[in-house]
Amino acid sequence: MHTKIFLLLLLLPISSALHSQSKSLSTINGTISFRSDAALELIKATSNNLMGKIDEEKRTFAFRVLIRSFEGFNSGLQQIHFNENYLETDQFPEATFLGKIIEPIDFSKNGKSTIRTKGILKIHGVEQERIIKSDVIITGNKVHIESDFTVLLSDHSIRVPRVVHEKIASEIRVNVNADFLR
Amino acid sequence: MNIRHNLHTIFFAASFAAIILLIPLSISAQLPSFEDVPFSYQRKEVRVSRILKDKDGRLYFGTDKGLFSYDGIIFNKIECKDKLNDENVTALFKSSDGKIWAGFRDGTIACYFKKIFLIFKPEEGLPKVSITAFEETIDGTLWIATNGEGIYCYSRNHLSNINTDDGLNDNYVHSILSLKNRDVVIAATDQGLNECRFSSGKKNVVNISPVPGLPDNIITSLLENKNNLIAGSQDKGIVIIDSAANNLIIPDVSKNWKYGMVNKVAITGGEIWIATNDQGLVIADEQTGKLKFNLRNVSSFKHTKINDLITDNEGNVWLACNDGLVKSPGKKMRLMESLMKEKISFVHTILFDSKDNCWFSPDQGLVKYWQDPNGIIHSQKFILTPPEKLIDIVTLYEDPYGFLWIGTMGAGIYRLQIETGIIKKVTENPSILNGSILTISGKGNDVWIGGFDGTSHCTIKGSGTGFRELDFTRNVATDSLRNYYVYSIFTDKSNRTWFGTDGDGAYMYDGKQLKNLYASGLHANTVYTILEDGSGNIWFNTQDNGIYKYNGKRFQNYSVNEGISDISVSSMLFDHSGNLLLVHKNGIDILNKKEIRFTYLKNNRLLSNMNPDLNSVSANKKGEVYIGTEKFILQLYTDALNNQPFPKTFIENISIFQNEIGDTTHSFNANQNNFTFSFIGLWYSNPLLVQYQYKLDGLNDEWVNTADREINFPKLPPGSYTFSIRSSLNSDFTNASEVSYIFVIHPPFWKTSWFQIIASLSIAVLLYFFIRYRDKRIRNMDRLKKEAIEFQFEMLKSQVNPHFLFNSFNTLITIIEEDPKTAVSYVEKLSEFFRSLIAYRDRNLIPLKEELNLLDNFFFLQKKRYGQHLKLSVQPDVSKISAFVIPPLTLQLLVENAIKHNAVSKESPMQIEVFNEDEYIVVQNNLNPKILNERSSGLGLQNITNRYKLLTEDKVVITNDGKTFSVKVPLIKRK
Repeated sequence: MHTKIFLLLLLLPISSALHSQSKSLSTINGTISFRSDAALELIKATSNNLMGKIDEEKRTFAFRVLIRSFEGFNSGLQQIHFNENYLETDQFPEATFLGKIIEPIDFSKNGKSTIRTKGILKIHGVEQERIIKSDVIITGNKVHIESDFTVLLSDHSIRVPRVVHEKIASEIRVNVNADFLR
Repeated sequence: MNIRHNLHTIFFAASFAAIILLIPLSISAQLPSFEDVPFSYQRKEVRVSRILKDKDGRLYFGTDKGLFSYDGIIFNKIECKDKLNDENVTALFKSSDGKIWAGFRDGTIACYFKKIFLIFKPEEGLPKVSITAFEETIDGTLWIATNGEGIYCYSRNHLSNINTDDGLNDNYVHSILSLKNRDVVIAATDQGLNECRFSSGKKNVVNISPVPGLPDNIITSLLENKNNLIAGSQDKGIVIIDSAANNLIIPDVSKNWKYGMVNKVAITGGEIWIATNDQGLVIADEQTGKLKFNLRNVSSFKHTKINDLITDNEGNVWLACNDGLVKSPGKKMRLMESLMKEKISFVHTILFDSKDNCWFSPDQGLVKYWQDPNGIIHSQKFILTPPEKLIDIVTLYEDPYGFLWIGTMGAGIYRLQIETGIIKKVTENPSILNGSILTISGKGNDVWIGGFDGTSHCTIKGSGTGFRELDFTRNVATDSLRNYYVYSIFTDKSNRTWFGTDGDGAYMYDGKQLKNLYASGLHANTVYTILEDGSGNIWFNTQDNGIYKYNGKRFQNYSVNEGISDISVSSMLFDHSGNLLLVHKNGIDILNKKEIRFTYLKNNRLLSNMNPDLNSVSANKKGEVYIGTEKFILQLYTDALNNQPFPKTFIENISIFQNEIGDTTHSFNANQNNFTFSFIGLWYSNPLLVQYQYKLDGLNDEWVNTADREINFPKLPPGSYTFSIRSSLNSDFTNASEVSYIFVIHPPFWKTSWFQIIASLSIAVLLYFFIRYRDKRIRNMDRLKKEAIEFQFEMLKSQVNPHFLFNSFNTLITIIEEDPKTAVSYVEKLSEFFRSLIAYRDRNLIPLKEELNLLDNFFFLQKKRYGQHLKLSVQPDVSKISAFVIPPLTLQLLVENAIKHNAVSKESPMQIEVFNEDEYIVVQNNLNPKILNERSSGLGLQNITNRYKLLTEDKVVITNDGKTFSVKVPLIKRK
C-alpha cells in the first residue's frame, strides 16, 4: 500500500566541491530508514543506498538517495504504491539534501558532537528549507553521522487518499546513519 | 504533561456503610478549544504561512496562493497589478503609514496600499532569495530580512544591502525586530544575533553573538512584549531577554525542551503560545513560565507544524497550520478535557467551594479538581458505594463548616468533609434516605433540601470540627410543596426563602407564610433557578418564559425582545463581576448588568447541542465560569468575553451601476444614480451573528435593519445624501460602531438654476425679436396695403384722367368714321381695359400673362392714337411667362409713363420694348422728352419701386442714359 518517502541523498555533484582541492569526505556506508506510525499500521522501509559528501573546509554537504532503493515494506503491493502513487518515483527518482553545516566542526578531532545543518530538502520534487540536527562521531579517519528528523507529507505535496489516512501517518520519522572516510 | 496521578486509596466505612473510593483521574486542564476555518481558493486548499493584523484589526493571510484579506466570512484574494512569478508569501508586515508589505519566496516584494497591490520596484532591484521578515525603525527605515542575502534597508528611496561584508554574522536572516523608540534592529541569523543601525546612509553592524547564557545561538523568532524580548530558538525553546534588567531568563517551559524549532511566539490572555515547526502548539503560563500544554495529535488539535500565530482584537488566536487554518477563542472559552482517552461527559452538577476547589459529577461519581500554588493541576475521583449501582450526583452544597453536601438521585444525601475527604450519609431523616434530591441550599445553620417530594428543612447543630448533628423538623408552611418537584431553593439577604417548582411556579416563604408568586406577576409554571443580585433584586429562571427580575415591588420579564436568544434557559448564574450568564441548549447569553448589553456565545459548532444539565454551572474567584454539559465542561472567562469590542463597521465598496468607485469621490451626475454599498461589521468571534442597520439621510432618515452585507439604491433622485451603516450583535445599536459616506447627486443641467435663467433670458430675447419681426411684418403689410390703395387710386385717377378719356374718345371719333369695325373693337378693348383695372384693383399680384394681356389692350388703345409712330415690341420669353407673377398694372404704367413723358411724332417715333433679362422684365423706350411736360404727380415710378420693396429683395432698376430710358422690374416667382 502506501508509504512515504524518504530520503536522503547523495552528494550531488556539487561540482565546485568535487573538483576543488579542499578536503572532502565520502560515504562508505549510508543507511536511511523511515517509519510511518499510523493508527492502524506501522510501515518501515530502509535503503542502504544513501550517498553523501562533505566538504570539510567549506562546511557544505550533499546527500542523495534513490527512492526506489527503499525496501522492507509490509507487502510488495505497498512498495508499488509507495513508488508509483505517493512518491511518483518515475518522475522524482531521488531525494536530496544539500546545504551547509551551521556549527563549526573539526573533523580531525576524535569525539562526539552535535551539529546542525541547514539545507534544502527535496523530496517528491518539492523543496523545503530545513535545519536538521545530527550527531557526529569521529574516530580516526572515520566519521559517523546519525540523524533523526521528521518529514511532513504536507510539506512535500505528497497526497494520500482519505481512505488510507488511518494507515499512513502525516509525519514520517526518518533515521539516517552514514559512515564517511576522510 | 501535567497529568497528575494521585494515588490514594481510602476506604471509609461510615456507620451507614457509605464508602468512598478515591482514584486517580487523568484530568488535564482547561484546554483551549479550536475550530478549523476552511480556506480554499479556486477549489484548492490554501496553505497559510503568515498572518497579519492591520490597524483596523482586519486580518490578512499570506499563503502559497498569494495575499488574502479576510472579513470573517470571505477570503478575498488581493490581486497584484503587476505579474507575480511566485505567489508564495513568506513575510507580511504593516508599516506605520498603513501600507501592507508582502515578501515572496522568489525575493519579490509587493506593497498593498489604498486597495492597490503593486510590486515594490526600488532602483537598486529586488533580492533574489526569499524574504523572511520586515521591520521598521522610528526613523522610517524599512528593513527587509532575506534568506541568503542578509538585510536590506529602504530609506529615502534607496535600497541598501547589509551582509557579511558589513559585519553581519550570516546572510541567512530568520527574524528582525526593531527596539522600541530606537533606530536599531536586532537581526537573528544562523550564526546568532546582530545589532544593526542604518543612519544617513551609514551601515553599522555589531555582532552580539554569542550572547552569554543564550542556550541556542539560532533565534528563529523575535517578539517584543512589554519590556521584554521573547526569542524563540531553533532547538531550545524560548528565552526571555529582560531589556530593563539586561538579563536573560530561561522559562521553565524551555528546560529540557523537546518540541523542536519555534516558528512564532505570541502572548495572549496571560499565556505564551508557541508555534513549533513539528511539535504542534506549546502553551506556557506567562507568569510562571511553566508548561501548561503541548497540543499535538490530540483530539482537539491534530496539527504538528504551525507556521504563524496571531491574536486578533477580540482575543481569538489564529494559527496558520501546515494543514489548515485554525481559530481558537483563546482564554475566553476553554474546555476541561482529559488528555487521556477518558472523556468528561454528562456532567450533572459543578461547584466551586470556598477554597476554589472545583467539584463536579461526570456521569457517575464525584471529581475534585484543583490547582496547587505552583500551578500544578490535581484531580481526584470519588466513588460513593454502596449501592453497587453507581449513584448519580445531582446537586452539591457547601455549608459554613467545610462540609460538602452531596444530593443524589435515589440515594439521599451524603456529607463530605472537604479537609479530610471523609464521607458520611445523612441518616437523620428517614424520609430522604433513599430520596431523589434536586437541590440543596442554605444560609448559616439552615439547610433546605428540594427534591421529587417537595422540600424539607434541617438545622445544623452542635459544635466542633467533626460531623455535626442535624435536626430535621417538619415545616408545616412548606408542606404544600410536597406534590411538586422542587428545583431550586434560595434564601436571600432578607431571610426570605424562595422555592422554584415544576408545575406550580415559584413560592416565597417569609418564615411564617408560603406565598405563590403567580398572582404577583411571575407567570411561569416551572422555575429552575432563583438568585439574588448585588442590589437585592431576585432573579428567576423559568422553563419557557425567559427570566424574571423581582425588584421588591414588581416582576419584570426578560425574553427574546429584551435580547435573550433562547427562552429556554437551563442554568443561570452571576459571575464574580455581577454579569448574568444564561446557559441554554445551544449557547450562552451574558447580560452585562451595567450596560444592559448582551454578549452571545452561539452558532458555534462546539456549543451546539451541548445540552447543559440544570443548574450545572459555577463561578470561581478568578472570574472563570464552569458549565457542565452532556459533552464537556466549558470554562468561560467572562471578563474577557465582556470586554470584547463591538463589531467594527466598514464600508467595503461603493459601486455605481455595479462599477466600483473609490470612497474619495463624493459628487455625481444625475445619471449616476444607482448606488450599491457593501459593508462589514468585523467580528471574527462569530461573524454570522452580526446584524446591520443602515440609513440614507436625504432619502429616509429611519434606520433600517438588515442581515445582508450589501444594499442597493436604484434611481436616486438628485440631492445630498449621507449613507450610514452600523453593526451590532443584537438589536441594540446604541453603542454600535458607525461609518458614513456623504455624497451628492447633481440635478441634470436642465434643472439647474443657471440653466433656467439662461433659458428664460433666451426665450425672452427670442420673443422680443419675434414680436419685433411680427410688428415689422404687420407694418409692411399695412404699408403694402396703403401703397396698393394709393396705387389703385393713382391708377384710377390716371386712367380716369380726363386726358386719357378725351384722347381715347377723340381717337374713337376718328376711327368711327373711317373704320367702324375697328371702332367697335376699340371700344371693346377700352371697355376690357377698364374692366381689368377694376378687377385687378384689389389684387397684389397677377400672373405676368394677364399683365401682358392688359398691356396689349392698353397699347391697342394708344396705337390707334399715335399710329405708326408708336411701336411696342413685347418679347418676354414665353416659356417663362406662366411661372411669374407681377403687381397688376406695373407694365401698363411704365408704358403709359413712356408715352406720357415723351413726344410721339413722325419726326420722333417712339419705340417701346418689353423683354426679359435674367430675372427681370425690362420696359425700355427711346427718349424724346416733351418740351412742355405734362404735369405729373411723379408718383407712378415711386409707387412701383415701393411696392416692389415690400414684395421682394430685388430692386427695381431705373436707367436713364440720355437716349433710352429703361425700367427693370424683378420677376416674382409664383408661390
